[in-house]
Amino acid sequence: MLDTLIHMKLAVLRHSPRPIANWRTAVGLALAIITILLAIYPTGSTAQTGDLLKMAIGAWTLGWVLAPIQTGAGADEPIMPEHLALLPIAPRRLANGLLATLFVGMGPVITLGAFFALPVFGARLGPAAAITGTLAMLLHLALAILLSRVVIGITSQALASRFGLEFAALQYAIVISLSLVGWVIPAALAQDRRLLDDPFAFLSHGLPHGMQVALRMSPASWGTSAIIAADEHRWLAVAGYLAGLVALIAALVWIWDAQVSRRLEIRQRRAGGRISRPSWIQRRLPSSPLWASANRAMLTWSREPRMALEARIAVLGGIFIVAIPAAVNWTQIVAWVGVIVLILGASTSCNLYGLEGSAFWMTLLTPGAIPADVRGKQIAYLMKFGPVALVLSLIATAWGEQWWAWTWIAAIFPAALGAGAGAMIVVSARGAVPVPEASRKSGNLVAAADNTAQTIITIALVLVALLPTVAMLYLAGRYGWPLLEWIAIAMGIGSGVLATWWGGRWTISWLGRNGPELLTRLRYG
Amino acid sequence: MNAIAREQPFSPPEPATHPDLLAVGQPPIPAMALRGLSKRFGEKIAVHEVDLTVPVGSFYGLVGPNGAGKTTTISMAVGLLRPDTGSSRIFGVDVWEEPLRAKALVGVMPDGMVMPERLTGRELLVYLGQLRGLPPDDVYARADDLLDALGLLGAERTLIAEYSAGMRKKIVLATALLHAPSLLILDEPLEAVDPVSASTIKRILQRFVASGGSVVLSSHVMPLVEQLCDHVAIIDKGVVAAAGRLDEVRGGRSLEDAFVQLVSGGPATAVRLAWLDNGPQHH
Repeated sequence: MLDTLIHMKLAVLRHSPRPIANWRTAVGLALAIITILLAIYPTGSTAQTGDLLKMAIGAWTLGWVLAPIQTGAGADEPIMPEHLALLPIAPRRLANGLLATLFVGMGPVITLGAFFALPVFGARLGPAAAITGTLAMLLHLALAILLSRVVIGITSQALASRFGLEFAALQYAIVISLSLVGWVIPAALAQDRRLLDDPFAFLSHGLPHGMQVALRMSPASWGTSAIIAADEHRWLAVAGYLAGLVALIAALVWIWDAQVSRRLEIRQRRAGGRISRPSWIQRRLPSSPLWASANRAMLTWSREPRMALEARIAVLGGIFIVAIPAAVNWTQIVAWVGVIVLILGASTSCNLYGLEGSAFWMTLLTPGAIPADVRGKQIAYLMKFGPVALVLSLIATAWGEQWWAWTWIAAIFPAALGAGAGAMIVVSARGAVPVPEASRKSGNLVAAADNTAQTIITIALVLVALLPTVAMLYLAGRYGWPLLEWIAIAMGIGSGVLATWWGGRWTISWLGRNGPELLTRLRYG
Repeated sequence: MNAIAREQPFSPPEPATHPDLLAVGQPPIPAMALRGLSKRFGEKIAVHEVDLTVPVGSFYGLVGPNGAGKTTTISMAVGLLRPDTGSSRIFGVDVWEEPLRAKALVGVMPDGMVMPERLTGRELLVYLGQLRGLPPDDVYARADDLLDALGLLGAERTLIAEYSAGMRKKIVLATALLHAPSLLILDEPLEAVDPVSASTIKRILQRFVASGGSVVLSSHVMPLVEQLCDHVAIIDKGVVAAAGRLDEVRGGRSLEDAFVQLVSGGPATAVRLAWLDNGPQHH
């Protein structure tokens, strides 16, 4: 059975619309090589190199957990338990077979390459450490991949209820913001300004004590710790760290088995999401093609579980990214909460046509519906993120008493809002990635398409659109001319309006020319 | 190639004879027996106390309006949806107590289930055959036979993602026939299937029954059920409204009349859509 399932997975990969050697593979390989180089980077001591490796393994593991939600990478399931539900094979046996297929693919191969840093690190220390490193490499690969799948399964189950959705969003927002700005906590606790001033100082000076302690507790560091223990002939510690990893993996396999068994039965025909009533504002919007389409986009945002989750993560993530440093008295970026929410919001809204899927046929067949659809989606985006980001900006600047930031926010906020509304609609149409349609969805509500590139491009477009305004603000600050500040504010508002208008116009004309081709792509992948 | 013009009609794999059927002097074990099956989704009672007995060798039609509970009943009968109460036995094997034995006896064509979209039809059949433990030579031969019989050979290199609705139906039917089951359970098997393929499928099913197999088929299409089936059950609002031999159930009328009578309590009433009465309006 095992080899059939693996052949099946390979066949699916062979038929993937993407060539195997794509830019993702290239970036992944480059990152893997960097990870291996960390193992031979000449730091002052074994412990320092160990810390680097611990962080790197942690980053890869975190990537496996976060990417399926953030960028859709690794969220798809070429072979689902549902496909095999009618076979006379015991659920546990099937689950273990499917488990093996998780390790087939470029992602696992590249990650294995990155984790090769562990035996390399071990080999530098001696034969016992090298053997420990090889074991640790395999265990960490299993841990990362299993953790990723189990978290997808749990999130998918959570999305079926309102509470679960909010809770999952909160958790993702905390993990994402911790991974971005969490390093300020130990740095601040250790009163170590070096890290705040120069984040790369650890390469030469090692990590502050607090962070070392935090790292040691994380399972992502256990493999490295085992290698160092092997070098020091502390065999009990070696066994302990490796046994810890094995125990974690066993627990995850147990959960995986349960998740697969659960999906072999139809639980209830539900698409996830809830039938939320239109809001007070939505019920009072004028009756016209434009507002009908805006209304429809807003309803989708609240009912499509994945979109609802991502929108919440954008808002909560923005809040935590400034709140975590603020909690340790590092308040410089508090004023930017609104702008961060807008950028995250745009980056999670750049596959609207992909999520709509072949339902796009309705827009295509209704005369004159494309302009209304495009502008409607933009309005929905502005209403979804604009007011909440604005309120957050006002509260944050008032709370932080950062009155100086008013000018900056007055200029950059409208620029970011408008740039987001322009960039997300352009990328949504031009770079649409088909996702499994709700009617064909299985027990995996998280299933999505990998739109990593689109996410990065959207963020880049927004940042580029901010450049003129930021440059003008910089000049105003540099030379102290109030007039330049006013010009910067005008530029911010103007560039925002322009970006929204132009992005929509470009998309309308592109869809007018390429609508049928887009529908084909959305329908057949 | 024209399926009708073929000289050698496709013969499905001979239905396996279940050992329990060989017991002499016992009352015959039905191909499928549902007893008191019930399912509730939240407030809604989808299926209520359904009893059905499908005799061995029968061609059993399951009819009912949209949302009547046909698919829910079938899902519970084959082990895809856990019933709240009641049992389902296939040749005496309890589906929920011995799922592996039961699943080996039955071929199922579910409605609206996900498929591995990025496989070709042949790949899907070959892998499923291997997963069922069929001998390697048989797997390839049967996959070829099925693709040929169902007119899918031309679509050799087409991914299931690109299949039309009718082709999807046909490939699912092929997966149901692959392991020579003793009982076939088909949910809306001919929906969206072209007339030529439909005629091929009908002949495959009739041969299957003629050689000792049993078929349960759900459909909205009354003439189809009248043409194929010897037994019929009408399901409405989650309960069995009538069940038995076709002639008993329709009682001298057409099945459609009997059905409408049972389901709505009278002949269909005319419905008017006022804005359509004035003919096309040009904007």
